[in-house]
Amino acid sequence: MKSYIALLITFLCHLQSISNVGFHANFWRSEATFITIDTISQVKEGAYIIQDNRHIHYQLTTRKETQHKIIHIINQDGLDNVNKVVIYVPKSASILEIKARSISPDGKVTELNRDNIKDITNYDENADLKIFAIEGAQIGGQIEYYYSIQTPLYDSGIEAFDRNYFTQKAYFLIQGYEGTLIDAKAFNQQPDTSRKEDNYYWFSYKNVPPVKDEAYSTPDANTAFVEHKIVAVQYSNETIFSKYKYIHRIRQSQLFNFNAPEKRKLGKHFKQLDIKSIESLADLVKVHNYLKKNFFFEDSYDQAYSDINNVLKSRVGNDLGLTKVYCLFLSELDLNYQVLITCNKYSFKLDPDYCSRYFLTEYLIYVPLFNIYIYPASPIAQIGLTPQWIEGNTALVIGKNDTKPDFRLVFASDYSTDIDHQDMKVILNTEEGTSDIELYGYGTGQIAYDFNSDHYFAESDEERAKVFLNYFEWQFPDCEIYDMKKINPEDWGNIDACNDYACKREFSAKIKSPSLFSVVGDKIILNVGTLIGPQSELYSEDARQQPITTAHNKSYHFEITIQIPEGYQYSGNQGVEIENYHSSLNGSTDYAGFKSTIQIIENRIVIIVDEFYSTVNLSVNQYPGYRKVINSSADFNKSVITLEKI
Amino acid sequence: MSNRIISTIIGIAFFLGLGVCFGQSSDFENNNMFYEHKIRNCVLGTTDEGIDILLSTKERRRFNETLPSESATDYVTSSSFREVSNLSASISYPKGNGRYTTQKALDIAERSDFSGNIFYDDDHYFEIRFPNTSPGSYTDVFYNTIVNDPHFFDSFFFTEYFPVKSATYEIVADTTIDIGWQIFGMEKDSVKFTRTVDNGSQTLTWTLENVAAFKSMDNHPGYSHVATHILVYIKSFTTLQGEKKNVLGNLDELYNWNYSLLKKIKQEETDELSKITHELIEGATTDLEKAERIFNWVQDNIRYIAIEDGWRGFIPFPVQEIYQKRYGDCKDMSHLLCEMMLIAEIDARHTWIGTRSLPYQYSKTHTPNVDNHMITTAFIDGKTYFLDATDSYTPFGIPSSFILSKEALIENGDDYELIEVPSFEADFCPIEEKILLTTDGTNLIGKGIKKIETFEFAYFKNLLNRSGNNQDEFLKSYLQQGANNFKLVSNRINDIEPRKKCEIAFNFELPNHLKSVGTSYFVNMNLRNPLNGLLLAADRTYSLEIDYKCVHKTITSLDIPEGYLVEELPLAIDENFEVGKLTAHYEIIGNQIVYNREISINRLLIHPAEFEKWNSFVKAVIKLCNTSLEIKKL
Repeated sequence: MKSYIALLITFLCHLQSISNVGFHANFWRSEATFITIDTISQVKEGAYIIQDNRHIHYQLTTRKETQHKIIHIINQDGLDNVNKVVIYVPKSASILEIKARSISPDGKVTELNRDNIKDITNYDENADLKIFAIEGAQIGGQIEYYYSIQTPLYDSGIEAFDRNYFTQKAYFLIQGYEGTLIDAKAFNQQPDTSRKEDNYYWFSYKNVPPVKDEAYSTPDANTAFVEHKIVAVQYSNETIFSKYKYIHRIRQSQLFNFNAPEKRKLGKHFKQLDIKSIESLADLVKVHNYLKKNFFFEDSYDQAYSDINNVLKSRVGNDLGLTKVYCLFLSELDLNYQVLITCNKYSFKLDPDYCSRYFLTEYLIYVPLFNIYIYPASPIAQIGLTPQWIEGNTALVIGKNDTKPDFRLVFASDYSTDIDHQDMKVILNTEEGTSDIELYGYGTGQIAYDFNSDHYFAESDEERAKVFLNYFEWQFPDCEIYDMKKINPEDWGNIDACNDYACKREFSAKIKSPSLFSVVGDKIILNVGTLIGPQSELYSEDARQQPITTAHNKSYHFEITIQIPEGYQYSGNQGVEIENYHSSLNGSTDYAGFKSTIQIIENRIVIIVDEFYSTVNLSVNQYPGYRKVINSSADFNKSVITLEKI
Repeated sequence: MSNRIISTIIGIAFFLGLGVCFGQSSDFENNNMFYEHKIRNCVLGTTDEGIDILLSTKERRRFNETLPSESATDYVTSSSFREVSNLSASISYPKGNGRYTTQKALDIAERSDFSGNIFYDDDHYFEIRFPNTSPGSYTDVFYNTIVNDPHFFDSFFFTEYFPVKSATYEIVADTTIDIGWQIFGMEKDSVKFTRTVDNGSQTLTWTLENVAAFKSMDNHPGYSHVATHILVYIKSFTTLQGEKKNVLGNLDELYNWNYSLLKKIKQEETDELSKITHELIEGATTDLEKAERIFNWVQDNIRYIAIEDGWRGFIPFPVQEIYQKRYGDCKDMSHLLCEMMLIAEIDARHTWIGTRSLPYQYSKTHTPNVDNHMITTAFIDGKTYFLDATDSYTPFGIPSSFILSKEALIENGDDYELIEVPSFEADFCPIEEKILLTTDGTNLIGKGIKKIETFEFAYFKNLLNRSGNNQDEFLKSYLQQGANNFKLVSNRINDIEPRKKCEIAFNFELPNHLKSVGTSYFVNMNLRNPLNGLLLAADRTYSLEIDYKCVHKTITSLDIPEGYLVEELPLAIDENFEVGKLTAHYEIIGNQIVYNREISINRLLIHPAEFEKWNSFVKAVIKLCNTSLEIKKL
């Protein structure tokens, strides 16, 4: 960030003349009239955005942002959501104009009383707020507001559509000043019309639908938006986010070239580590664990946290700062590595054809020698772990000797290394009507990481115990859960005890269930499917809107052994045996699968369930096959076994 | 400020500066941090005409772990009535040998509060940032608070979100100041109190040691119900001029103060309001009908937006302004409702009330802490109606569920009335479902009608409205029968009585619910457990709060398929657990099995003493919901 600002200032100093291209985006209507919408009775949401107009005007040292909206209010939920306006006012910014009014269905206009605009000072360290409520707003009526704000010269921005409401028309004008090149791109939905000149872009949209909350999706990342940025000043000096090649070059310099004083600071660390080079994976693990225990993450954009000298001194850094420290260590220990930069997949999907600062916020390190990934910004991420919020996103790849940017999908682990494994032994107490379940289980990979994180970030032993209990309560609701044990409890939350990606976190518990079976006459109805806990489902037959995006690849293995009570025999089952797979079109790859089997061995019933998900991203066309597998586990959950008296 | 106060402050500062050192028990070591001490010293001194109140607070948090800066951040709140000053903060790191190195907090930033239900208020807070902690390090925070109005003196929480080794609340005051107090919370009986009098000065001290941390728990009644705290108030004082001034000695004085604020409402022209009110009630033949129309109009047209700025937090806007802006907070809505009803010549009064989240009642507590809400009480044809328009869907004539069983302080000019809002028995909120099931041999196919009224009606309508573009999902969940593969084929919401009672007719399919084994079908006709998730954990200590009492009445009928007969029916049940009641029985009528089930929830609050009864009730329902019947091929 620091280097970028310096660069931008340098460019600005080269400016010789500035002029406005003559656009004047005054969207405010001279006369407020109620707009009739023929289709309003068909709208399901609480409000309907009739117009969403924005004008972003990059100026010499400032930026002017204007926003104008007209919204039709359909119900109370919509009214409650849109009748308050909150404007984020960065420090050094000033509000130029605010106007707002409501228009009742019969055309009565109530203007905003400016005395009712309130200031929230120091909302956060970077900004104040201006807030106001729209006066006279009512169901069936419309509201209109307009504001204009002058901010410092930010180099880029995002104009996102409202995810919850339908937008009928939108008009985004992005304007630069003379001699400045700007760039902009529409994501997730293309505009109906757009126009591009050297110093302005405009996008005109019609009918932008809301994005629903769907299971296994990233609705925020799938919402339509326009990203805009300055790419060059004076037609020549290009900004670092104008093209990937510039950010690639700068990060390459920061993450692969270190100066002598920086290197000298590693002496005491290497002495403590007793290491001179990385020869084996064990050496790398040793360094990784040392860094986790001695350097701390701070979620901050403050430059101090990305400055390597400061981080080495304070031992606190942000994503970039900690990544620099890792790179310095690896570089000095003579290990070849790459850095992958991407973003949280729930917010954005990195586009290799368009460089944006918003796509470049998360850092991963890849070590080719061991084919392994490292995530610097978590204190508890074991070696090899890629956080689920970036797994499956595309990343910019930077190597020491690369001459140009490269891109690749962020590694998604093999599902066989992300295991949720459970063995259950079940005894039915026919006289009491209860069941005793002895459970042993373990998690590896991301699942082990989740266990470790819960343990590590809990604020007390009591909270740790509560979180641990929650694992079981979720699976066995309304059951008595006792004798829960973390096996090797000292390993939980301890990075030193998780030296490979697939490290195990083991546990056991005893459970008494009051509802696993019921006795009907001389038969027992055993709800065996409930033993795997309530399952996610995709039973809804609504048309799928978004592609499938899962958190991470994973697999489940359950082995359930049920002792047949004395005097009873197995008489049948319903829905226990299921086998469904979802494969690639050519059948070469199984994307997901579910298989459950049942065997009667002497006086025991043995059920084995295997389920896996081997890919993070699937297109919307793949939804029916994927849904079938997800619903297999939900169907199994409803399966029963019957026993009858001999 | 009197000299007495100043000299006392110096004394306090010395006392606080010494700090307190305690050994650490395992309870404290098992948390990332704990409060080594919380100390507030209050100095009250009379002046020629009034009273000065200064509070000095010191808190020390001890850390057992290395925590990043953001986890160590502390906050101090301030308002126009209780202004914070002289805030200082430091962190000390152990150097070994029992010595510490101390440095100032990284930053103390004053911020406006912009969160929660209040859109705007003038409260603000100080965010105190510390560097990373280390094991054994501690932070000290010290600040003074000047209380500008004696009505706002004081409350102090001994409990925190982390354990507190020692909490002390102390008042040093002239003996001419009559001080009252009340203690609330789980550990209130363990608070130790001493009072000493010396040379015209009284010292009152309350201490509580080894205070358990507040635990987050589902459906607990509210933080101030469980967290141990003291409310302290000034009953009266005598000024240096010898004049006795009453403040909050009894409910009369609290009411007089409340009422004096109400009288400060700016009076404005109300012609437009009068016009709309008369239009609304035109043709209405009874006062009840007029009141209902006015209430519904306010519910529909005035949105809840709270703007509280100094005394605005206590004084409503003028009615004309509320009417024009179409928004306001509870007191604005109450005020508008009162004014409109008065225009319609209905006896309606402003009413102060505390919601159920507060443990206080007016008959025992006479401080402004007792309430946090305002409604309207209307007296029509000898009946009392508690009207709360802040809830958009509560039917006319019944209170909102969050004020049930609370005392209402009702304005009556210079006088007042104190009436308890009824808690209503379960029968007042029937939730009736009639389900008819048939089978195609594989799936269950169902038709249902769900009828709801009173509190359940408000609950349903609120959630339906808030579900936005997920309304289908909400309805599916609200109507779900059997398991999550319940397929809602169609639904229709019909008003039985507009704004009061409705029925939802729905058709559904339920795959896999019918268990076919051999020549038999097994069917569980308990398609919904209304007590799902309410079995209380063995270590629960906080009461369980229930939104409203209600009775779930379900009649489920199953057409017996041709060629089958009933092999086995579960036994009838009729059990009364006091906290709830359960009846269930099966009948065969013609070719149908008819299953009648009633589950009543008879309490608003389940106290720990009743946990066993409650769990027996829940377990009985779980057991019932696990019963099946068998029909067999002939």
